[in-house]
Amino acid sequence: MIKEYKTIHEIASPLMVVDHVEGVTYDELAELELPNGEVRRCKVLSVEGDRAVLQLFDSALGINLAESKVRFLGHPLELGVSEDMLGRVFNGMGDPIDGGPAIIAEEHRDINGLPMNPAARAYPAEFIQTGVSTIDGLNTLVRGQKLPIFSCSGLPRAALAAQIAR
Amino acid sequence: MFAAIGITFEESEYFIQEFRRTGAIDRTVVFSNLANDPAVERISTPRMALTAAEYLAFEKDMHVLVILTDITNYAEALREVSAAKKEVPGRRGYPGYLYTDLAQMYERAGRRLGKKGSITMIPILTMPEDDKTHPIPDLTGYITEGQIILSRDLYRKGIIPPVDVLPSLSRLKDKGIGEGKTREDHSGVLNQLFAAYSRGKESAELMTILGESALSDDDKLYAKFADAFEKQYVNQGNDTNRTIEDTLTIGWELLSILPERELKRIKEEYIAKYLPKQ
Repeated sequence: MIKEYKTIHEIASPLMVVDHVEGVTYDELAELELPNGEVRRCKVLSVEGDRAVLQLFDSALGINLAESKVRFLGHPLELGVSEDMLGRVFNGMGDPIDGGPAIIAEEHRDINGLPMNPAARAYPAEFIQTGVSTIDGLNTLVRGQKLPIFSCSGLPRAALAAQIAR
Repeated sequence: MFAAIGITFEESEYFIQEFRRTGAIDRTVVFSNLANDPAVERISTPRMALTAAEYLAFEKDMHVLVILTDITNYAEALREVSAAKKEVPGRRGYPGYLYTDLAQMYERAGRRLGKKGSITMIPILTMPEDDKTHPIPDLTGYITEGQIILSRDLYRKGIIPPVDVLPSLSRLKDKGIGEGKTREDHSGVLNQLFAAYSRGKESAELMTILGESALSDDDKLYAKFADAFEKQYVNQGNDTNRTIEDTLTIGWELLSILPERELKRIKEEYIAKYLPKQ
């Protein structure tokens, strides 16, 4: 059973404090329903006793503390994944913003991922040809590596990244 | 997999046009959080992208390249939320757990035993005030396997891409090169180019202070080498796609500027085989 709370103590954008909560867990996703039916998303940042601090994903404008309701959904932020995601554009919350249909998810995954078991890691050793001499010849990139580009403001880092991506 | 984290519409559009132009768009997933989107969504954007990447790499056996740009904006969003929570700030106002947070993100790249797919990650960050000791590049450098540093000086000289070779590093380069992977002489050429360029830059600096006549003949050659190296090896433009063979050939041509006795880091058999004959 999902409980609704009307015990919002305080809102200080982007945070919201809800009192007298039960069974709320860290990083859980929640919904805030305004009196006019509008729903905004938030997630739990910390729980101390029966008081939970939530982070609002949208604006904190126009929220009536006494009349708005909070529902805890019992799971963290998830992304529905599928092979059909290729070629699509999403926003930071994983909703499509390219005007195309919603993705039919093959699986819902916690966006925090599971840390990779160190013993299951394979050592990266396979050469990737990027076509850029300074990388291929002198600072070789291999499959599975993480190689950041440290740029200064105003330098053409996007051009280099796009060149590697080709 | 492309995650735009708090970047401008212009930069995001550049990437999308570039993917379209090269036909990569059908194989690309874009997660876009632009500079005018909520800062709190910025924190979930790279995680969304990595979740999708993990699925495609380890369930669907794909080789996924994840580009995250710009990590500096991500860290700033983290700082904003941390300050709102009234947490005790760490270095430069970033939360004390910035390292942990970045590590949780970067460490999702890699390969797994028994899985065909892989996640290769290229995070892009801006060094505030060009300072590589700033917490964001500093902590990133601890976690990642090397870094590619861009240089304002090279950019001013008109060299594209302005990769500053000497402080750049790929910690896994020795694992990916050599016979069977690239070419037998790769490692030697790499070391020799690094050493010669480093000495060449010193000579060039000395020349600006003391004048050309104060340099020995060898130093003059090294200075000439450093200049040619930047103009030919580094400066390839954004549209030239060089194979590893091309790259090594250019390397050998540049090394032929130096006297043969100076090539101490390459095995003699490779010098005999690959060094262009005058």
